[in-house]
Amino acid sequence: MSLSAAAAPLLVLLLAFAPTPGRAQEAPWSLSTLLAALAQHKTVTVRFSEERRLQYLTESIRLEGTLSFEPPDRLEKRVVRPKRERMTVEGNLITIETNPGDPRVRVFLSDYPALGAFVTALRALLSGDATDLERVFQPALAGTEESWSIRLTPRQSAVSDTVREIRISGAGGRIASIDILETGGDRSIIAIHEAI
Amino acid sequence: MNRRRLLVLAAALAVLGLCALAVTATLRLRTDLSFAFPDSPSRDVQMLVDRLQRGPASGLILLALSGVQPDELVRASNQLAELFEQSGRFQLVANGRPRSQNPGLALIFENRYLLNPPVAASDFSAATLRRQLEETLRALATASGLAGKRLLPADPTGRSRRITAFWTGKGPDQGAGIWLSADHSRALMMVQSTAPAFDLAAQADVIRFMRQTFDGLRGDGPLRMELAGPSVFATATSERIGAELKLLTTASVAAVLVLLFAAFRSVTLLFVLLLPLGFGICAGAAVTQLMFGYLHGITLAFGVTLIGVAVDYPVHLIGHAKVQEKTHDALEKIWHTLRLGALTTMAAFLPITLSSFPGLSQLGVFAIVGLLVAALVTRTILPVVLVPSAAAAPSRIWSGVHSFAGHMRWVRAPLLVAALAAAAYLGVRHDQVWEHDLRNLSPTTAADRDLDRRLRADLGAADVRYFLVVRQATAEQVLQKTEDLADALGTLVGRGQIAGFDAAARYLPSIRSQQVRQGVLPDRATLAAALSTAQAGLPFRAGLFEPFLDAVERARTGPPLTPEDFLAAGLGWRLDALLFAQDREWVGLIVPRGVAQPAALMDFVAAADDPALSYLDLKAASEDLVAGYRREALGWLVIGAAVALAMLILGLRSPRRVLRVAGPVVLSVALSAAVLSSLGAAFSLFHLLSFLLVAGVGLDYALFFDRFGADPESRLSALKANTLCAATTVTVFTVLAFSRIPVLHGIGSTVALGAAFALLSAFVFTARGPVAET
Repeated sequence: MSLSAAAAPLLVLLLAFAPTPGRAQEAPWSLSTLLAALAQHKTVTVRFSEERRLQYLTESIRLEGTLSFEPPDRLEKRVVRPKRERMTVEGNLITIETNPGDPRVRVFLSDYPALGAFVTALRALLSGDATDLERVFQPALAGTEESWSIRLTPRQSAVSDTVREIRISGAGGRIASIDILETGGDRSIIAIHEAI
Repeated sequence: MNRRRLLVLAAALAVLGLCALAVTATLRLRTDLSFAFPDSPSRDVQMLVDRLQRGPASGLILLALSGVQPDELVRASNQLAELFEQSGRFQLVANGRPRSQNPGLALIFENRYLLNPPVAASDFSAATLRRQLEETLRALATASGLAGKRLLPADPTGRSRRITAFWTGKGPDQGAGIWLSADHSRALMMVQSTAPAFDLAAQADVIRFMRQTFDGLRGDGPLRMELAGPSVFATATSERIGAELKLLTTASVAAVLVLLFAAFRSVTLLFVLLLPLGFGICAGAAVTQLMFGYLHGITLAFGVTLIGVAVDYPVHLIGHAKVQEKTHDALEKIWHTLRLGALTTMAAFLPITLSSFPGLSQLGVFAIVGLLVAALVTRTILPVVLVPSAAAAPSRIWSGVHSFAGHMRWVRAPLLVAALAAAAYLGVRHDQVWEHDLRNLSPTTAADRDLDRRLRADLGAADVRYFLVVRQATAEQVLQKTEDLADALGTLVGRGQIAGFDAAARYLPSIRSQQVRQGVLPDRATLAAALSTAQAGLPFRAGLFEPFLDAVERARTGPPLTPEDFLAAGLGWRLDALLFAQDREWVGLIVPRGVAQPAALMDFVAAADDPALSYLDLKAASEDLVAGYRREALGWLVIGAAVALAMLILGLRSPRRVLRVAGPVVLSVALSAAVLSSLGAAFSLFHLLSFLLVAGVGLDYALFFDRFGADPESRLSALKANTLCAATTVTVFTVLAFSRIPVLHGIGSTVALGAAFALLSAFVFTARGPVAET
């Protein structure tokens, strides 16, 4: 499902809310310590920029906007350039709004397995629940605490039909970028900027 | 002697059993509403009734979930929809959630350039394409645009989205991703099973499956599910009627048996009582079936009721037999009276057999044949099998009743006054006493109809009342004619006289207009050139839109869509209610929405002056139908009463006696009608027939009192026999009056009340002479 690509920034968003690492330093660095560092409990908004490389196009598309997270599970992606759009995921419901006057599009997360898997995983990440993350993806951690990357390979065919893998990189408890590779060759590279 | 009697009785019962078996085995029973319709109603009415009865439209089931919070409702609705879909039992499961796996979508997508709204040549100009490609490019930067990415190469102009929007229109609130009622207290769903709507057994099975699935989902929670729709109600009704009839029949038979046993103290006698009625029913059913080729369920049920008066024959016979008398002598004594009663009742039914309503004329035939055979059985078999017993003779209790009844002559004046008042009351209110609404005659309960109305309102599918009906030789011609009318109807919309309209041609354009659209579509080379101009400078990969070029070319040169294609793709439900074959013709319904001025529609049809187009106000048409039916029935009944009166005059040969016999009958009918009407009953055909039954039993009471009223001893016998007869009638019909099915309740209360009045007035007015003091 291509919506999964669209939702990738939400993943970014969830991973991006970076409280400074602290207590985790005493334990040996691992996926679980990373998850603990990423776990998020307050409303945060960050700026992002996204580069979409689509097979249909000879040039890539650049998007800019903000990402927000509101505990426990409300995610919002606001695109301001090139075309205004607001997408929110709440529970199982995705709402997409273009212009304020236009009718909203509402779809169910569970109708889009790939996107659903993302969100499930992201919520798992946020709550520091590695079990849930590992149910959907095969995570592979590399690098050091100061410069790490995770490769998420989908386990379920409903997801892997669309998404080949997701690469997330960051430093400490902060996410720097998310790279989503789709099976069809489309790719989204999202860079996370400062919190606002 | 005694043995011979029992042998004859056993033989008679055996023959009766065989007759019953033979009749049951060959019976072709029709249980649809057609009983209530004339042979030749207007074609439009017949068509609609037919559709409402068993058309695919009536297979649609509306479902509402309630009892929990909206979030829970959404979850439950989705789960239920999924379970329904997985079962494979449904051709349509819709809860407002957009579904990508809809099988019809592929057909719509493939034929997107032929469907509505129509394409124009300018849609494929380089300038338009350029604008759309730029729009598409911008959309790729959004989540929603990206969601449709897969379709982009074949549909860069977003044509399929326009068609989907056109099909969907404005539905109920979809705020939570599914259909919820305005107050968010109910989640709504529409389903249609793959089983044919007229197959009640299959529908019942589907409904059972739905309830089981729901029960499994609900567990012990507070979630509730309500179902509405013609097939749901039909199933519930037939189950309820079946259950009620069983209960009521058991109860009334038991009550009557107890009553008769208490009166006669003989089990053999109970079997004897069966003979006239049993043979009457068998003969009535057999002859009616032979004459008509089938029997209406209602004819059977009502016919049995009407000739139920035959149970009275043996009761009269026993009641008038003296202990030392041979039954045959007793019969000779009462035969003249019994025969006159039967002949008069049969005479009353004679005109009805000529009715143009097959149900009514069947009823006439059934009653006449049934009564004739019952009387013949009473005449020939009963004297052989019946022996007067001591128990049959009037006891002291009866003398007491008699003496009490004897003091009731003072009731005459008040009864007469009451009857006059009743007649005046009915005369003044004669416009308001009738039932106008066809639906009140249907066994669907008011609560069910309410639920249906509520769910329809929730779904924005208000109950339709007005139709324009298009009739043509072929489906294609219907679609063409509808399209020809569309512009003119558009002006009605423009003037606000109607809000819009639905028709089959909206979803499936005629082949004619599809061909016009094919003519508009550019050939591959032209389109490729325009596209390449439009694409210049835009970052779309070369050759990306080959599938688009192919699709337009396929649409341009391929075969047009037909109703059969729709059916094959599982889209049949969209057309079935709007386009169908009937009597080697094709019928299209144009269903106006939001009719503000029905007169505008009538004027529209009048102005079109086209025999293929007609206007139908379903409510008015069904009211006309009901009124017409009742008028005709009433006419036949009046003629029947006149014939019966002539028969009485012939039989009694004395104006005084005719008045004495007929007077109480008229009086009891007037009294019971006035009482029922003042209690809020609206009279339908079934009440009229009930009054006929009241008149029939009342006539017998009066005849017996008239014949045997002069002599104290025989008057006592007549009183006992008549009272027993009336008691059985009142018992049976009082039980029936407890039914929750409107028609059964109406019949029960009418006859129970009427029979009581009939006995009272017959005794008070017809029995003569001083009362014997015992």
